[in-house]
Amino acid sequence: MVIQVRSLAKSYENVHALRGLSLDITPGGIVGLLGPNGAGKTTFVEILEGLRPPTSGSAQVLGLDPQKNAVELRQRIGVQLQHTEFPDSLTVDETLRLFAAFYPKSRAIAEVLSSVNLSEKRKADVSTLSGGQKQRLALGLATLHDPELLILDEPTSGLDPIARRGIHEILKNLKAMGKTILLSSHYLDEIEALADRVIILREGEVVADGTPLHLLAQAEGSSTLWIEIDKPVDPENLVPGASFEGHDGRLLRYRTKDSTAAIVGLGAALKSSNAALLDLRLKRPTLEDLYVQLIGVSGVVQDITEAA
Amino acid sequence: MAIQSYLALVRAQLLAFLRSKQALFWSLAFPLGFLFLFGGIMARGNPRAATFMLPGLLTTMIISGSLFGIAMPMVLAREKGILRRFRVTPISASTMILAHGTTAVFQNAITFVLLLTVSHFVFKTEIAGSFSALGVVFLFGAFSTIPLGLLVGSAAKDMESAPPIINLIFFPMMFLSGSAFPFALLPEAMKSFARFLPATYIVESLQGIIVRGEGLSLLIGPLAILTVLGFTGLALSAALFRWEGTEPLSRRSIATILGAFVVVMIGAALVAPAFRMNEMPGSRGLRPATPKARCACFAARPCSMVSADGSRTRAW
Repeated sequence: MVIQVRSLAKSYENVHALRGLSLDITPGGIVGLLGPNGAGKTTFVEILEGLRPPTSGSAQVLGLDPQKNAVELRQRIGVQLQHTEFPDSLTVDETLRLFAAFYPKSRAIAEVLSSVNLSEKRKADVSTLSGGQKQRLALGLATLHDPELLILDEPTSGLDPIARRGIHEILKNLKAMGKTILLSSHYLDEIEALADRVIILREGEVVADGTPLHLLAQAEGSSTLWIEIDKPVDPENLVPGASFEGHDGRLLRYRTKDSTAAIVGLGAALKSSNAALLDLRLKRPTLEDLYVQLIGVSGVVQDITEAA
Repeated sequence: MAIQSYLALVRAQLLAFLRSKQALFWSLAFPLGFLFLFGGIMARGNPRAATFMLPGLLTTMIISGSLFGIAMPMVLAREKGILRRFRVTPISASTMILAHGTTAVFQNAITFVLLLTVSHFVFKTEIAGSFSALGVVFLFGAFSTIPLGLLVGSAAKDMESAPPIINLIFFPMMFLSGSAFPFALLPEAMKSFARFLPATYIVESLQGIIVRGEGLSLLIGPLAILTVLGFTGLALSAALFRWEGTEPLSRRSIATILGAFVVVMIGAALVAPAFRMNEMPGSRGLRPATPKARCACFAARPCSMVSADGSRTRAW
């Protein structure tokens, strides 16, 4: 077990940041950690990193107690903080060499540089790097001692889409190398695309935990279907099992719980009315729909934690 | 591995220091400004007077280098979150402290050598004692005051609270110890107070070497006090080191700091009268020529003095 957490709780004065978290994380793969601000994500990862002691409960990371075995643990985990600040007036190369000296053994600096795509910037002063380059350097620092577990706190926060994609590629490579990655993020599409398992926190509790596919199946069924037909038809009752919602330009918009059945039914209906289909678009429920459903405005939390 | 981390940190800090125009200004230009102020205006270019004021100036620069030169970068690094990044590596607080302290020794040494060299060539100051003894006294001085800077750097919450704390330590040390005025020239009441200040013992040791040409054996008393002070500060700063400003610093910790220093300095004050500090500096060899030179105002603020004809003049 890479991470084993039992009844983990953390309170600051009157605020309960974590309310009895229990979960296990097995080796390999990317585990996405989602939740709104104040859900306890950062508190959770900081306890795992040994930066904060829990109020009660226990956390074991790589079989070690983050408080008692901090030095040994930090030799084996790689951490990217939410905001990484680098020492002043050093180049990319010097910064990596400085941090490499803190570990008993580390990867070759040239290899680290190329893995985070900064080889060309190695002589550049760190203060001249762009936001994306700084985050890649932070990833380089997190991985230069070849850790078993990576704990990354919002590594793509505030980056443009291209820079984010650069980080995603690095994360995929790390996953392919067999690393376990705990990835906290605000971007749902990122977690949906990268994570093998998603944990959603809300007010210090786990409200969803499972593979993205499993969680999506739990999302309240609401695919949206758009179609364009070559001649005027009565849009009502055209698509079996779907309710007509309105027009989007020349497109007719439907909402359905079972998009596959709706499309099959649509084919039969078009054939009988001798009409041709000009365009078809389908939007399946995303992690975002589930997220809004769980965190949303209603305040009612629906617990759909997957039985482990 | 701790040694490897320590060496890498010292190297990185020295590189950052040499690349920072601001740091170089405070370590090179600022001390030189003081030297020309004192040597040129106060000592009027008189080599004896300039030599006479050199220990006070050197001491002032060691203290300011140790306090401002260490505490401010440490607090800034904490406030910016640089220390937080170090914290998630295997490096220990004591390695961080020792690296900061070592960097400061180098920074202070650069200032020290620069002042000695420029004052020798421009103001013709002469060192009566040996250079190796002077080097040893410098190391003791740095060792005693750098931990004060480390302590403030470890304990001060942020960049707003650090300067007042530093000033609270710096100005009494500069004006009330023997560094602004030679100890022997201080009024009796101030002498008792000056015995509580580490700067007094640094000036005394430097006076011994530079002005009186003494060997280290005569300075064992002050050097011992500086050593005890250095170890006390070092231990306290390692114990109180904070990676993040949000880590609490209890009243008990603050009481421990103050208590430890009060105990050490009371001990120093009790044994100090046994040293030869009451002798007039230069009573063997160099005479403080005129009242003007005597008042040669090692202070950085205006002071009035009585000149030979009895009229009060504004020196600076």
